[in-house]
Amino acid sequence: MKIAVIGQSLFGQEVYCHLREEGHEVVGVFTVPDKDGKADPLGLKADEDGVPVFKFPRWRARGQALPNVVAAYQALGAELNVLPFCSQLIPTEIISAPRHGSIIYHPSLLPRHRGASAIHNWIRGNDKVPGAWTEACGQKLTFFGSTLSTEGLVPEGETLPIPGAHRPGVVTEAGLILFGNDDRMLLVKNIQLEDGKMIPASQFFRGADSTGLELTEEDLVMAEAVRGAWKRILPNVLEVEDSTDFFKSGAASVDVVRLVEEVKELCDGLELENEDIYMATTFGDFIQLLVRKMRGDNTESKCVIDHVEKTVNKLTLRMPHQLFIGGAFVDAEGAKTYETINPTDGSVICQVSLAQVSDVDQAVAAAKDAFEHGLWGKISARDRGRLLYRLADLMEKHQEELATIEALDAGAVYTLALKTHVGMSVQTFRYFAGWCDKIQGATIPINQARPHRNLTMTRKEPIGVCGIVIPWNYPLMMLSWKTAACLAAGNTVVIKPAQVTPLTALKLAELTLKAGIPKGVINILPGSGSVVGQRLSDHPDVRKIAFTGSTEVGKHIMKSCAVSNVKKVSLELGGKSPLIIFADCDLRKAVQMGMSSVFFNKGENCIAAGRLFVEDSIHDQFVQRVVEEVGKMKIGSPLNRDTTHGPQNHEAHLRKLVEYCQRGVKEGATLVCGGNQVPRPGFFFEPTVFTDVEDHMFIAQQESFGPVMIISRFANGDVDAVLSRANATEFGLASGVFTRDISKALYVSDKLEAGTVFVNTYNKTDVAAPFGGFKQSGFGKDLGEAALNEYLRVKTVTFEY
Amino acid sequence: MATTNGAVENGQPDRKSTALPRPVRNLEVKFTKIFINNEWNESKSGKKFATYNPSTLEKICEVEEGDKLDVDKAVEAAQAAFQRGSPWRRLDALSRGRLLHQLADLVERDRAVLATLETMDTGKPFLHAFFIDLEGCIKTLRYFAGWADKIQGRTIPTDDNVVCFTRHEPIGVCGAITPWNFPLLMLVWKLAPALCCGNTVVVKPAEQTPLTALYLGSLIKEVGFPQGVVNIVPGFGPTVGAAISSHPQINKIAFTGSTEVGKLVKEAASHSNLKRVTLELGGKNPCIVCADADLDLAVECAHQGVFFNQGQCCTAASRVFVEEQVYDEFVRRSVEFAKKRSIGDPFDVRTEQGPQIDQKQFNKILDLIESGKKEGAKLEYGGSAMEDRGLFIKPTVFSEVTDTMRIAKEEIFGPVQPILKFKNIEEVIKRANSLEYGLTAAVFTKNLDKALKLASALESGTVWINCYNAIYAQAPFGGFKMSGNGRELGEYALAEYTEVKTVTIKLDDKDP
Repeated sequence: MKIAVIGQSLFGQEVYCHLREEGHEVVGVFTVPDKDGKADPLGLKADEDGVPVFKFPRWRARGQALPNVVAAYQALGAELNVLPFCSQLIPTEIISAPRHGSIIYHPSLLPRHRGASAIHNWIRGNDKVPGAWTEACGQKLTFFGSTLSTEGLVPEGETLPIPGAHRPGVVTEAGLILFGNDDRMLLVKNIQLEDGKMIPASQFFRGADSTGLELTEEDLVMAEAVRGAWKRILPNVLEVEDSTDFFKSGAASVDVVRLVEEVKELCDGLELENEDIYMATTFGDFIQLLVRKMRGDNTESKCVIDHVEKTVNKLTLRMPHQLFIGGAFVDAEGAKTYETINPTDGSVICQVSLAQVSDVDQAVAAAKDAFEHGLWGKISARDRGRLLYRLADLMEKHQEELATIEALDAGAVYTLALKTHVGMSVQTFRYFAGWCDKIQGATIPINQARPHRNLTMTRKEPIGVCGIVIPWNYPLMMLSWKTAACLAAGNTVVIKPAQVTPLTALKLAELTLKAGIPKGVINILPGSGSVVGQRLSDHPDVRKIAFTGSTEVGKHIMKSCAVSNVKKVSLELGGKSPLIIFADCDLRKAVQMGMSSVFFNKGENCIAAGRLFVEDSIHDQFVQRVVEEVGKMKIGSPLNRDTTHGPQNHEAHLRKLVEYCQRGVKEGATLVCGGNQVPRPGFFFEPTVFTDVEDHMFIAQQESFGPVMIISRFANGDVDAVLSRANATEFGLASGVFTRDISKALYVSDKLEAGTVFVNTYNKTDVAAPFGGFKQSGFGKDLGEAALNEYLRVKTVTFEY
Repeated sequence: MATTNGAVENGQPDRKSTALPRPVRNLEVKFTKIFINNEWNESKSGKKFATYNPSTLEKICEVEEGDKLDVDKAVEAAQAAFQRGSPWRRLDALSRGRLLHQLADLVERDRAVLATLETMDTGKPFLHAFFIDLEGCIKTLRYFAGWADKIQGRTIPTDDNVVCFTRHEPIGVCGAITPWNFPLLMLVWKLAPALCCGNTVVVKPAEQTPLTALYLGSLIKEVGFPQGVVNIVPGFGPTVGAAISSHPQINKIAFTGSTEVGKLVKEAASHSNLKRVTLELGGKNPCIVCADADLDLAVECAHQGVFFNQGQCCTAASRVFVEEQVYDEFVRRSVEFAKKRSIGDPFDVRTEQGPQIDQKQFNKILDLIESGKKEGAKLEYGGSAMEDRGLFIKPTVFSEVTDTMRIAKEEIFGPVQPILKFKNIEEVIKRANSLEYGLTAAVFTKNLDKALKLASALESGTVWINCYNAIYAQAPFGGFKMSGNGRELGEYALAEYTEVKTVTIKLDDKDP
């Protein structure tokens, strides 16, 4: 067949070559005039083959076809026009002149141009620009990266009315789905807006992505190299700045190819698609895209975060509120949500996605894929450490925002949140980042199987997908304690924050994206224990559960872990930690530490001293001083800088505390002060002190998890008696002793049955010191080197030679 | 770079390479004085010495020449910085780690400057300096930064009614004397663990190559290490080196250099105050190529193993034992590699080999080459200096080398590859172990039995199997026998920079 080819670019050249290979005769090629002395590749190739080449700058003037152009065209006697990547306005008389009409052939529609059979005519009439386009939502949208292979695609999502179409388009996760008259689906991946910016079609209804990646030194070196390439390609631009637009600076399609090639050379063989360049047309965006690609991230799922914005504490908080799965914030199944409440005034902060069983399954699958096939498992331990360091740096950078969110969501006193909730979280990530390349196995001398010899070595491997279920008292810090060790060991993780305090966890998720932690490594699912926690414990692909919470739930989790697939478990459960104060102590310090042992973080502290045993001779003096100190406590909004006592975490907890104190009074303990809700909005509870508490009483045995000091006295000098009372509990999380006597201090620390003993201090936890309970307070350690073992499995390799 | 199997000195090349780095043009040398108390001092004697660019033989600049009095001043500063209650001693371990991390950040920032200085001063190819020396420095700093808050003592079960535990405490003022072959990297190997453990340091960089150490001083100041924590005194061995080795207030010394000087250092250390000593000395490292080895890999690794850094490596593969079946082929291919090695301007990206460090080394290498010829080794390639240029020596390959020749016994520290022949494993083990050196050894074989047998039989601090110069910040490095004492890098290095204190508390025997 005699064919006229009208078009340009490498793509045009390829189409031209294919046509000739198929045995068609190309009678002439019409392409664009040379730019800056550069001939278009289509024209070049045709020239080589001796095919007549025409380079008319235009075909029409004032609505009329130019006669000389038409004449040149007609002289060729073409039977078909093929228009690959044609950017010129071709008059209708040319389009309809040949016997077989015209085929408009554009790579955006058929990125891998699978052959002429796939050409369809629904874009006829819209051939004024390269790429199919339509008008919708009041602006012109140009479609790129379309495909007809839509098998398995479900057209679910927001509809996009398209004038003239018999059925509206649908914006789905995969892109924009358009329907032909035959109702066949066409999937459009990218949409170019009127201002030239291209966005993923799936995000048409969402705002622009604002999560810029932090660039490392290395990235910056790369950026400079790429800036050089831009300068070479765009000689007319004096300075390439972040806002410099590739196309607006005069780049043509052939320059796109050149940029792809330059990037391949500068960035260690990184292969971009042409579409990538249309997706990120400014230099700044382009560098972000490169860095994402270099870090193994996929732009197709480039994360767009729907933030809830609030201005609080002189800050604008931007809080993600959806599930975080596979590196993206997504709605829960059925778009289920719940309200998270500000305990300071009982108001709703925002709606949060409520994860369902299917969401857990998806998150576990993402974590499993990230563990087995992702970059996470391939990078060196050292690089893993670098990523965690970077995350810690970002957390530090966002510390005010994180602390404010914690104050809002958990009622944490802001100043405390800054130092402890957030401050220690940052330290925890830094500490474990340092462990990554120091997790050493051993070589072990074993008996030799003579005459052969043997060599045994151990390797410490990550376990796989871990589930982490954390409580509401220190939402971010508990998450960090477990997650940092878990990731340092090389695992991937699905985290369930407490249902009542999900927001700092989700903010952290956003920071992990910025830090460049590969997608799927961390997944976060706000939701209920009975659904999300249960499914994690039951899930056959989860190999380890780490839980902090109540003993009751801990038992249930352990059982589920056993029944499902014998998961490794570590549990950090309740406590009723004894604090023994001997008469020979520094009383001033004992009062001060005794106060914080109970009232720190509103008593919502698993290591809170649940019982104080005070030696008879100083008992009354101790109580008197404590009551004085309680009087000085400042109850108020956690955001006020002078507040020392904030609201309890949530309403149900407050109700339980009221009951707890009523029971204490009923059983005969002396209520010295407090015991009631504070008469003001929100969930505030008075700092409370009980004395004359006897061992059989409910409040002597059960954890309050609130600001309730329980004081009992013990006979002067009777160390062993007080020890046996202190140990007469099924809990064994922490304990404390105040004495100046070195022998007594060491003796008591030896005899106390608890995972932590504080001597002349309290609450002095540190990222480097292991933390965890004895007895029914659980097993396994957070923090310190010991925590790594909770997330590692040891493989023994034995050779014979 | 150093080897072809992916590993390089002190770590692996990064996954992603960026565009080739460029040296800094017309670099002005800013730091040429003695660094004490975070300040730049002139020498007490008023003397200066010149440092030269070995590829052009031009003087780069003059550097203040330290002597005993300057060392005394530096030690005084270091001691003050180590006093109980000083800002450095009060710093939490975690914050010490942060400072080291920040130092790594600055080294990364100024990487091109440091690599340029290193190339000017040593003549090593710029890309090697950038990708190997500097990469190693950054990784080592970061690795030890992570250790700072993980140096743990123990609690120990004992017999009586006592509580017994250990504390790992810094030693105090540490001396460091570093060589000219990897000036900054060898310094960082010492500095990073010393600071990580909480010590203070007095450094003597090699007189041939003081510039990068001094530049690092400026970064240490910029990061905010308290004054006196790191002090750098450029000068000569018999003056500054001797003063450090014998200084009664220096509690530990780490030295990298020749075995000959190492002995002097240890002697001075014991005569003065029995200071703790770590030595990383010479080597005459066997590289054993079995007939079943991947010959392409073995030839290339052996080649890079000996010629890397102009042969100026303590790890140089300077005794290549090749099994007789593949001997001729191995020699043939090794000569091909030597012929291809490009020699020239170290700032040229194509250059693999620059000049030797100075005239003295140059003469020594040529003398050993002559001895090889005289003693009957077969000169396959090279064997002389480049005719037209100063300190450049042609890559030299000798075959038919026997154990008694000088080139098979003495450390050459130059681009000379002596290739020996062996018949069986027992024989080669014996021959490989026959010298007083024991730094590294390499084995090329595909056979697991042979690999493990040789790994256990060879008397050296490191055994590389099917790789060469695979040095990592995480893995200890050091010598057996007269190749040294102690270990650098890895967790093991921490033991060289800490004293263990056992605390035993007797409890009342009567009931509480």
